[in-house]
Amino acid sequence: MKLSIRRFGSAEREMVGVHRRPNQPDAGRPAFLMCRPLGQEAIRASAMYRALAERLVREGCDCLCFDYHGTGDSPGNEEPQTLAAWVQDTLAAHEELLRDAPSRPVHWFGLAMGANIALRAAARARVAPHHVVAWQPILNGDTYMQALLDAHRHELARELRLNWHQIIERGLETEPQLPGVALGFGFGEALVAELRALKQLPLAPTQRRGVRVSCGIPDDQRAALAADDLRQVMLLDVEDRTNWMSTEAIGTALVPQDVTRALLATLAVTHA
Amino acid sequence: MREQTLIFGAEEHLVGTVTLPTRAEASRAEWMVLLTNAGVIPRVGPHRFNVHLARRFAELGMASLRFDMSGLGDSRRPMSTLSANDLFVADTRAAMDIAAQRYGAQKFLMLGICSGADIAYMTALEDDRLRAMVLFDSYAYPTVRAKCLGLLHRLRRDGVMTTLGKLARHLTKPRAAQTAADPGIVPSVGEAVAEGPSIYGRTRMPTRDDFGRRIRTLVDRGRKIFFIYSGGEPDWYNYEGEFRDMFATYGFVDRVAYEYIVSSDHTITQPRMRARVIASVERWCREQVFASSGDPASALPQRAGAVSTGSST
Repeated sequence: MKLSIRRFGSAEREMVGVHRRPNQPDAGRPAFLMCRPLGQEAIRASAMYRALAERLVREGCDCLCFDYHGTGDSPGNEEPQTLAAWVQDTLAAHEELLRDAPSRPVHWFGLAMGANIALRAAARARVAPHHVVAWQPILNGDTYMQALLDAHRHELARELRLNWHQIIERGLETEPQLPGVALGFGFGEALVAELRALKQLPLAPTQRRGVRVSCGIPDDQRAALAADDLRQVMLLDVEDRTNWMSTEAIGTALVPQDVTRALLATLAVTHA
Repeated sequence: MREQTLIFGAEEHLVGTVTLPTRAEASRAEWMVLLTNAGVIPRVGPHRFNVHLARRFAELGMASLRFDMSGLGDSRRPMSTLSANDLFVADTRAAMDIAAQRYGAQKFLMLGICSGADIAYMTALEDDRLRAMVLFDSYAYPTVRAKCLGLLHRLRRDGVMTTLGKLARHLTKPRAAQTAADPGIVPSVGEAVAEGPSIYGRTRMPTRDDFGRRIRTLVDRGRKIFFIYSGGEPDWYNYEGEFRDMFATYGFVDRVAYEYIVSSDHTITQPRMRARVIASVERWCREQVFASSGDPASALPQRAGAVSTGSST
């Protein structure tokens, strides 16, 4: 496997990615673009992303893992960022992969909010991705923000070995709110407004581009999907309910097998 | 400020990002800051702390290299039979090698969080280029007073009945089963400890004697060391003078800096705590690392207050 560093994007929105490719490239294999989730979930899923990328390289695929502008190792700060800007970043990363081989199919993978960003970007890509694997996408922005705030309280209580009400009573922390900081990361006003408006997955525009979509959604959340959406996507079971907002997920060395299976299945579809 | 991401190491398996200051004179500095993983957290650090720290150092005219050790973050695991710790020390030395080759760095300051602190002091024992280190949540060896305060903390948090129940379960558990991950176990101060309760995420650590002697060795060699302990272990590290009490017999306590930031958690979740840690590190750099040298970072801006040995905030 060969590693290389990619710096791409406009001067105002520069990004960094790590490109992995096999020692013996296989022209018949697609490339993969890995779209990270946000904030603490990105940190906690990082080991999984590397493991998935290395697995795909062993299958003969190129793989680009990148950080959106203002996140991870890329330039910029979190607070002024928006979903719309990260969609543009994803499109720039996609173009970076196409630059290597314009006619090669590109598949995308996104976890949590990374899945939502991928689905939005797929509808707007100059050259549409062949397949998007959206794993545990966010189905409702308000629910997502509430989960962030709950996780924030839980993690700080665990980290400081206190009950949350004791943390408040001792003045160690105030009640979290958004816009603001959750789980150690800033969520600015514009981003929170976008999250509040997030009520459904943008599946239809993506599908109109002819993009295959595989969606890993737990059974008990499927009721939130519109009937049309259920017909349009390949629904996948989520057997491993990892909570990526929780510290218990950190260092998850073993990638949930259902995620690996979902990605490898897209290779079979490509060959078919 | 400019950032460059590099691939380095004997097998081209390591990934790191250099942050360079824009001031021309600073770019010739022979010092570089090293930042790395905290546990399995990638090189950006917990809550991107290393990124913010690197940019702050660049503002102050100091270059830094934040890198992923083998098998962590973006770095690959090489073909090697070394133990994990030996491999990580080798990685850190490889980071210094590339910094020397490409940027002319000759002296290094490493800020290590949790397991990163362990690798920092181990590397310093092997490589004289590592001149100064900040050890955030390094090893802790609870004193009798800390154990009593820890019990009090648990009583206040959990109530008498719950605490007594846990204590009873601990006392009735077969001794062989009383191993790591059981927070009820208290290793005696000075006792050889191979395994013990989970303290700052570690269940295994060197004995206090081993660690104390190694730190003394580094201090005798003139290495500058700043210990920062967070408030993330109120069961085991919980009062201002605990550092002095832990290591009083090893002859280095008055020759290093230490600070107890009780409001911060182990992963420095709150932004104001990250700012607090960065301010302490800046102050220590100015007053203790570069105070008498002609190094560029001696031009760090002055702020009120001094890094004291034994402060608690």
